Amino acid sequence: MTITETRPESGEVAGRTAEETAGPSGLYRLLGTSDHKTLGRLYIGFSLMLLAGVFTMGALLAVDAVDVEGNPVFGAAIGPASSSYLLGTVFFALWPLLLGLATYVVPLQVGSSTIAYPRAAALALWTWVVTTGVYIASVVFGGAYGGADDEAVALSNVAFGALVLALLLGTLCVIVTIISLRPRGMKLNRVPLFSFSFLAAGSLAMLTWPVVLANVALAQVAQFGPDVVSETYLSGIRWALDVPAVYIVALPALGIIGEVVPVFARRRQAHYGVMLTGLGLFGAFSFGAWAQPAFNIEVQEQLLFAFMAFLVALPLLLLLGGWFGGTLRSGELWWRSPLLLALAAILLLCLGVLTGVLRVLNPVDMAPERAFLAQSSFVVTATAAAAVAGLIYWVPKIYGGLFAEWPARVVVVVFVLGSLLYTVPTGISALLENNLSNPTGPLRALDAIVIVGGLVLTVAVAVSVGAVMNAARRKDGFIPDNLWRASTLEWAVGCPPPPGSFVWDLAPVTSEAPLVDFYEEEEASS
Amino acid sequence: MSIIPVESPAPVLPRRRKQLFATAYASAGVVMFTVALLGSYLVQRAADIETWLADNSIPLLQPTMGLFTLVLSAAAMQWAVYAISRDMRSHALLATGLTGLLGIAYINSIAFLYSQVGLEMANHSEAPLFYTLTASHLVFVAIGVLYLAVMAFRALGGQFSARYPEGISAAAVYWYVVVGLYGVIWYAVYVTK
Repeated sequence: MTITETRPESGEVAGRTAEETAGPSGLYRLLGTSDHKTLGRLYIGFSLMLLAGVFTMGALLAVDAVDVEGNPVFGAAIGPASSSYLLGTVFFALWPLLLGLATYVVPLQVGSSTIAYPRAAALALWTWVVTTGVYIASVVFGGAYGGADDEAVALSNVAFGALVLALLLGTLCVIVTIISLRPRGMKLNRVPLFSFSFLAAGSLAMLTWPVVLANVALAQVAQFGPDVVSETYLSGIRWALDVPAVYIVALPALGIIGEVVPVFARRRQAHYGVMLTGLGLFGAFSFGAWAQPAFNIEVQEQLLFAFMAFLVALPLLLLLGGWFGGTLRSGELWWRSPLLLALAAILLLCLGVLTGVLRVLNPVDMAPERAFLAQSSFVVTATAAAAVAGLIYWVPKIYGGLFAEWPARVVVVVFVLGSLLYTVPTGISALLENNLSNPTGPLRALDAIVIVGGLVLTVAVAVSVGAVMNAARRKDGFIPDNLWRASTLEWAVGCPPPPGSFVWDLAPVTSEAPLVDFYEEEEASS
Repeated sequence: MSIIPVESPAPVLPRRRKQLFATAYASAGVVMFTVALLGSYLVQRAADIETWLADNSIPLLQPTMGLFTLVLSAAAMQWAVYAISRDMRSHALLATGLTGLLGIAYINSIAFLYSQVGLEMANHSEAPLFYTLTASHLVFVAIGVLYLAVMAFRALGGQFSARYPEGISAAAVYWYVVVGLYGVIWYAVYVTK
């Protein structure tokens, strides 16, 4: 049959009422959707709530460290609380937040109307949501790694394994989109920096996190064996939260910075190939499945580990050179909140990498556990800052409203303040613990500052959530498709994009900045 | 005689080997999972070399039969790829079915092996590692059989041809990886014990 007339957009179709042809709505539509835009929004919403929870938990853990009048928050449950916090930062909050941004933005950046395997992406989202709920419930009943109830601990382990599997499935959908659904002319060296960084980070996750899953499976089976294994649960996973594997989550953050910097410097990214190389090398040096104590108990004291921790600083220097030496130096800077947060993220990440180098070289006898926490905090806050910068930048595209500049600046100030209060005292305490004759007093004071930092970060995330909800609710009338005059393809469609996103055939892409090419051609012709 | 006019545009084919890339990534994950378990197994065995499998002797017959079965299945899988790329659909279906059947035979042989090894979880410290490693591979083979079955049904429905052999090729990539991994497990776990 050939359709010769345009299908009516509303009203009766073949004797059916508008209600009958409208399709599902409400909760049924939400649960049944495989639209990458809805899935991305759901990831972002849930993960922001969890991020606020993680920062609150970090503050409460510091309360226990201060031990005010011997009245701890967690008491005997400090083990499961700290393990849940460590896992929560990467697997419950940050990676899902980045995955949400990627699920929404990446298909648009590569000119695709859909994500690859949309139903698998939906399955990944809801599995992540359910397993997160199961994990939290198991913690309530005495589970989590280091918990008192063996059955609840086993349930936590299963929930965590399923959660990692779900994240891998969601990541797979995004990276296959980047590889297979690009438009004509968009070679890999023309892929936008965020998409490229997610491709690199996702590929690394596909190689690294199955090793985490292997340890989860082993721990689950080992509970039927003769040995006591509860202590080995976390040691099989913790390396994934330590250097160099933890840098996997920082890689998409670098991609977001790479999107924001040229737009707010109002010029093309200088040395694009070098930037791609820097991202690729940063990813390559972040591969850390080899650096687990299960294979080699002294791995963190060996030369190769120190060398790799040092090596990861080199591509970061390359990227810094591209941004500061090239784009920012010669651009007309537009001091908007995404740029400010991106610069804060760069600072925090540099401090994190520096802490990693100091930690392995250890010229000043840093306390190992505090040094680990300091570095982890720097990487986590840097990634969170970059993710929020990306959120502010893409809010018009994602929610169809504007993230107003004054609340955005409040978010920047509160986020930077909270990050510094949360991270720097931990770093200083790592330096002091083994170098003071009586460190108790100073360490308590520094831990007290960390409490404030954690709470301030919680407020920053809460303000971000409020501003995003406001942007989604307000719908500021007409927003230009390319609000920031950006160069990548997601800005070629509406705010938010219409169903199907790209309803026309894209012209072949001829550079890494197709929209800038288009504007330059238009200006030349006029 | 074809009823399709010659000027009709060619049907739109799926883009750039989407399934092949997805399967390659998933296969890489499977490799890393198995290598991690194998690494833990070998490290633990090196540490407890005096007592490792001291109470029992794992027979080599079933694992070796399993290896031959999987090697044969890999040959059958290659036959399926060859056949579909030449539009010999009946051969492709036969070869895919044979591959799946050999995969089930392998699962059967390893399940029988478990009844012979006498490794009890509660009494042997090496048992958790042994069973996690070998049973996870068994699960990967079962997933491969399921994958082959789905691709065979799609081939039966005419979705794959010489122009678009991707589904069978992707299943083949996964199958070869699983067979290769068993070769490593066979040597590291069953032969060198």
